[in-house]
Amino acid sequence: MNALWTAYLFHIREQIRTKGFRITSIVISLLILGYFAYNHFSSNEEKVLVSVINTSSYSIDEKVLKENIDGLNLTIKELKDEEEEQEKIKDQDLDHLVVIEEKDSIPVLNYYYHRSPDPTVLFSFTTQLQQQYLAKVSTEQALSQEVVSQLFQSIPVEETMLAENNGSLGIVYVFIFLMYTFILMFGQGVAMSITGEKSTRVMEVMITKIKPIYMLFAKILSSLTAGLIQVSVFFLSGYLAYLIGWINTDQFNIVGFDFDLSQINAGLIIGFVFFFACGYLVYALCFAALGSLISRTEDLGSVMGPVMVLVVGALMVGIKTMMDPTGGLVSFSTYFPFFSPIVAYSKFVMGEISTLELLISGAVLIISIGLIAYAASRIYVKGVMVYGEKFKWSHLSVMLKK
Amino acid sequence: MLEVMSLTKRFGDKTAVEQLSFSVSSGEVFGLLGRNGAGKTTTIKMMLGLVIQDEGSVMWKNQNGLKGASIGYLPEERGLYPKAKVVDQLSYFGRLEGMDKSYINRSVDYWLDRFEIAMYRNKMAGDLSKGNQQKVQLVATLLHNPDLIILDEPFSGLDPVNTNLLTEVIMEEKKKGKVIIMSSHQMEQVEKFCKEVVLMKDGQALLAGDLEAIKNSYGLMYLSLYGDVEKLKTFCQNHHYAYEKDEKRIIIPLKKKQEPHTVLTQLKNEDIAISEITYLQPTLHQIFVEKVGS
Repeated sequence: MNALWTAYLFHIREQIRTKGFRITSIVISLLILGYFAYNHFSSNEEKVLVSVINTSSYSIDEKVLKENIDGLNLTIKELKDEEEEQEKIKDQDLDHLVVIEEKDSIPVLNYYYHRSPDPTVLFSFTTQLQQQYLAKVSTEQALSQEVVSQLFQSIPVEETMLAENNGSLGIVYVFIFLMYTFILMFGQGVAMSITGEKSTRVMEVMITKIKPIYMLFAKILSSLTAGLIQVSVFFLSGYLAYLIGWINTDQFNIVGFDFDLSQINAGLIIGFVFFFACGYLVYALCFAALGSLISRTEDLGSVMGPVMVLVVGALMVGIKTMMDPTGGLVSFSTYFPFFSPIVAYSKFVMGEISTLELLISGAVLIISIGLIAYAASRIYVKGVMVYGEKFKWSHLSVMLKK
Repeated sequence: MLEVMSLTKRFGDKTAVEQLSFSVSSGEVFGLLGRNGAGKTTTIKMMLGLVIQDEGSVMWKNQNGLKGASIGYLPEERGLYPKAKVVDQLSYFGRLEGMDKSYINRSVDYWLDRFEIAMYRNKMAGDLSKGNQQKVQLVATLLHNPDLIILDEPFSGLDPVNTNLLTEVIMEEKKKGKVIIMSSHQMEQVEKFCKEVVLMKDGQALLAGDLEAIKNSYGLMYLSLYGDVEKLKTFCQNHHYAYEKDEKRIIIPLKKKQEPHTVLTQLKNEDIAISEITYLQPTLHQIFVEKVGS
């Protein structure tokens, strides 16, 4: 175990010292800070540019509209300006054009937009016109004040979410994103490092000094540590943005997904670390075994294919989980060790997994890691001493046998 | 004491090493000789457990295997971490050999000075020349004061000055009582160190044993003749003697039981002047070329 620790310390030091590690950490920090800075500064200046052409007898209350539409910048235009305003929308110099006409005393609304309609803008205008039309009809029909009040009575709505909510989709999104990039960066890094040791023949020297199995785990664990350090940089950059005041905790979201910071608790953090580490181990063991089978780093692509398909599959199923956490594929993936770290944690965050399911998923994952580690170490021990032979998948079964 | 008994390795139909046996005592250098692909490196890898033998065994101090031995192994192809500092990887190798920090520091300083590469201690190994990488590799091999030193082509990449330096180091290690196994193509160096050798071809031992005894039993002796090289060449052709010619001399391998004076008498009879005559034992190089050359 002393040799494992020695090898672990050497590899973690070497990884942290590399320019690539430092540059990646700096780039991550700048991207995170830049993202929050942009959101912070651009949100104050974001305007909703709306032009209105009103040829009807109905009026528009700008003050009420501004209460309903954040950042509204309303301009009243003449009918002759309609085509010009439409051009502005095409050129994205204007967000919305609302043309109000009147047919048989009924207000008619023409709504122009560039690509996506804004339901808030549309709803605000139609509500105002609807109310005026109702008031006009009730006056014409000589309805009593009591009846008019009843007609204007808004329907009370009480929202209650029944699913247990441990956090928010933002946490799921961050987890999936980190898991995916982390496996790609550090999992493949393990394979490259092992193949590099073979191609530079360091392996031949090392294998007389340390058990191959220790080398395998020293590399995997040092990469895990390096990765967790970069994840910490990720979160610390976010925390720094929070301290500076660039994060509004009430409206915090990650690329549109709500991130309720108040929901973060010990369970979420423990789950994050557990599933993150397990997910990494599953893939890193596969990458390490495959990396040991080839002698040149340029041959890596030829053996990585199947594992890369699983990594991308995990990402796709992760996104599917966010949209439909109870679907059939997602349910199966909860127990499939290559997908379960992302799926089980996502369902846990979204409150879509029972304690029993979570425990079974975790247990299957741990047992699978044990089996994959056993197979990977068998392949690695034999693979690292094979040079020159062209890799064939049939070699795998030979190496797994005693 | 190292003892190798009947080592055999087959790769499919090809026998890489067949029934190879030898032993090396403390304070001796053993030479593993042969052309590329003869089975030398496979033999070394079997001894180290890097390749599993099909038959045979290796004993160290009467114990099976080399597990109890402190081994310094210099592989044929150099193995260093190209992006790690020289001092860092040497310290790492030292720690894996169980050395404590102060011992590592002393030993690294000593060996870097000894190989005259102390100025590269904080350089990346990959930035060094091939010769200097070779010296770093040698430091890694000797750093932990191993009992058994296995050197696979140790002179490869070294200039004459560094070759002399390594020669001195090997002699020092020999005097310290180390068991040294050396594989090399440089026969002059092997002749300097090795008491015993094995000459391999296609995995088999063609010659094995004490180097002097091999030379003596080889039978073939040589006459080195200095004089008019063209006249000497014509002389050899007229008498159907095999010969090697260089700028100033002709070397004639004598046939078995042929006395040198028969050639000298013929030269005198034909009135060919000779300025210097040397009666030579075969060199290891000549035996090597004779035995394993195509």
